[in-house]
Amino acid sequence: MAYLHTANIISDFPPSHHHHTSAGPFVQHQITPYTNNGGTILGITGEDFVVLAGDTRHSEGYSINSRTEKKVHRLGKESSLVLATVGFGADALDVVETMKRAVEDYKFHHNKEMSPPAAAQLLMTILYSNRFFPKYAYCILVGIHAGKGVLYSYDVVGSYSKSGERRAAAGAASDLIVPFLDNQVELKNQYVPYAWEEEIPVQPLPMEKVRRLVKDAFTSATERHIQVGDGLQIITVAASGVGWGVSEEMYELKKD
Amino acid sequence: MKAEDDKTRILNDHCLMAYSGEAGDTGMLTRSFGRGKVQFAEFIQANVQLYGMRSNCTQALSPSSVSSFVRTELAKSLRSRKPYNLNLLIGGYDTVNDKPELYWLDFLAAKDKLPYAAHGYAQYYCLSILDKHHHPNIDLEQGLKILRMCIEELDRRMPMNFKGVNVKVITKTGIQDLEY
Amino acid sequence: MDTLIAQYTEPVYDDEIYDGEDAQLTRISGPPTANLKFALPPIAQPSAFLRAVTDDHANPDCPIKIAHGTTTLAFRFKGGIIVATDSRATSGNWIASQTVKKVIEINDKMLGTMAGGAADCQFWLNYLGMECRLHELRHKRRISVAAASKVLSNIVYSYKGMGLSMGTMITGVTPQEGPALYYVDSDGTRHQGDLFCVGSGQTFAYGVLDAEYSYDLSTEDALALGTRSILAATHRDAYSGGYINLYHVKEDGWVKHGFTDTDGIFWKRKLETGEFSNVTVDL
Repeated sequence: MAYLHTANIISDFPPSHHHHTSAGPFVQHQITPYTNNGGTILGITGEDFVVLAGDTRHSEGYSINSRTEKKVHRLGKESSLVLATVGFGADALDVVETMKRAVEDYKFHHNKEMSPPAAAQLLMTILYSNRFFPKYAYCILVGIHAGKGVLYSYDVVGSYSKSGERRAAAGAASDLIVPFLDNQVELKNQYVPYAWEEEIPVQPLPMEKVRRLVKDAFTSATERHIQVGDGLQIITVAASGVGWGVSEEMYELKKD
Repeated sequence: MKAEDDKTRILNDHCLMAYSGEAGDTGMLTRSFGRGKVQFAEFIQANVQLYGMRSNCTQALSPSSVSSFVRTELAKSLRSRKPYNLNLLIGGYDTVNDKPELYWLDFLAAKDKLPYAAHGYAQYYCLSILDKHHHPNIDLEQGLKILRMCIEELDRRMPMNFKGVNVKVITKTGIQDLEY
Repeated sequence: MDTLIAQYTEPVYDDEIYDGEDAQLTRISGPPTANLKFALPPIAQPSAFLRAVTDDHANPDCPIKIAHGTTTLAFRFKGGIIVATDSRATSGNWIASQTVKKVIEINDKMLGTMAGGAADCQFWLNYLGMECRLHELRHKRRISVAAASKVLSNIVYSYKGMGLSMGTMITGVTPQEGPALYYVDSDGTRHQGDLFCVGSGQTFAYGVLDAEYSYDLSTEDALALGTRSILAATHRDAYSGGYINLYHVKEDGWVKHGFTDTDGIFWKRKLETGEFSNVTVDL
């Protein structure tokens, strides 16, 4: 647990010797129950597939705790749902575990897989139930719904877009990756060459192109962000075609 | 309305300066001022004339020149032991190029030439009205109509109410006081 | 059969205290229907904790940034209610999103707007939608906008001081009320009114809206005024921008009038009407 000198919390923990000089039984501690473990996650949808990726570095301050800690998790063996979380590692994992159990319970109760829209709403409820003690975990949830790739992204207390998004990035290097995605996926400010202000129409990207964008985003983020690197975990969920189902690819990133 | 409530000073035949207190305080239309502001205004008033006499004998300074002079004085003040804390609007009529001009200056000695401007909280209420209703070639009557819209909005939405406004018009023929 | 079910579903003490009709009334108004259990930090003052970790005004280094900054507006007129919002979400100087849907469809008759904490607005307006549906099932008729807004304000008031952040407008058209508009915020404030603007860009929107607002506006003019007021705010308030989300609420439900890029609207207005003369373009 990091002792960040940024928050003032009145704690009813036993007072430490360091603070014991002050009068009275209550002592003010300066702690936050959070730390930032770095890392970045990124998701892009295609027509009938979705790709969700995350780097595998786990760090605290300038120290690297692990180079192989995965951030992208399948929520069930038979399910198309995949959840990636980033932020405070413990909270992030806790959210994943809570979701996994909820998805499993749902299957036992209803004898069918939870749909992505239902899982999306459930994740909001879970995150918001911690509104007054937030889980410090940014989430991206993906799956296949009605033959299409869907993607939802959340803030730490659960707000999300019900209609889903075409792409999302969260975590340490999201500031670096989101503008790249705006340009390459949403084709923001891209115009047809030599045509007067004619925008290039946004079309669903083919899987190979999406995988390439994901790798480019992470290799670039690795170059410029200290909390990104080591390895890249790419999970692809495809509704049809070659490579149908859920597949995982590992890709090496720089280790400096 | 009392004369000392007038927060404007005539700088020359075709230049008028309006001033208000602390930045972000209450807006130039409502701010009551301390002695320091009047002193600065009168210092400027006298020195614009002196500067004009020294640098150009035949003609009064243009609004552009006046605003540059005022900005310089404001910049000097900013770097002095006790800087003035006031925001200004300088309106003038450029008789050579036959054009009205408006300059916006703040207490950090930033200057901008604008088609319309305001200081303080008044900005939040008036600028969107001016964005919509101002056009480069409006006449005096239309201008006063837009002004009235702004005053009405301030009256309606500002957390505090003000006692009245001074309206002055600068034209080719000079500066006039307007009944409002 | 019904009485049998009632026996097992009613709390035992209900029958002891109330006679039949009162008991039914209790059931109608009902306790909170969802299982609202919130995790709290194990300390004396949860709200102080929350402020320390999320409020970047009180603590610029706070680890969790909650999105703020908005312009939303709604006004009543003879043809119903116009609801318009921008779509920008910011955390600090970072634009977290340019495509936020700040109009929340409570049900197919009522709309709510979203300013302040995105999750707070989303969660509680969603919850309000559920309460409204339950009201319909219990009473066999739609809830009034007055009642719906009061349900929401009572909920947020019960969490006062806990750090909720929302400024919302609840709108709807009902036969008994006509076009109805209420402002509800997380302080517990609840106002009925003809016209509200909420958010960091509210003053800019008010400027344009007040100047030309009239109850007798045509629907076309009212939609245009809503759009223009949000445009004014996106031009002057850096925390507002993105797309203009426009809705028209009528008695038979609401109608969506697009999610339009402000950039296109801005240049169209500028070139066609000569507005925004402060923006100079030298080609």
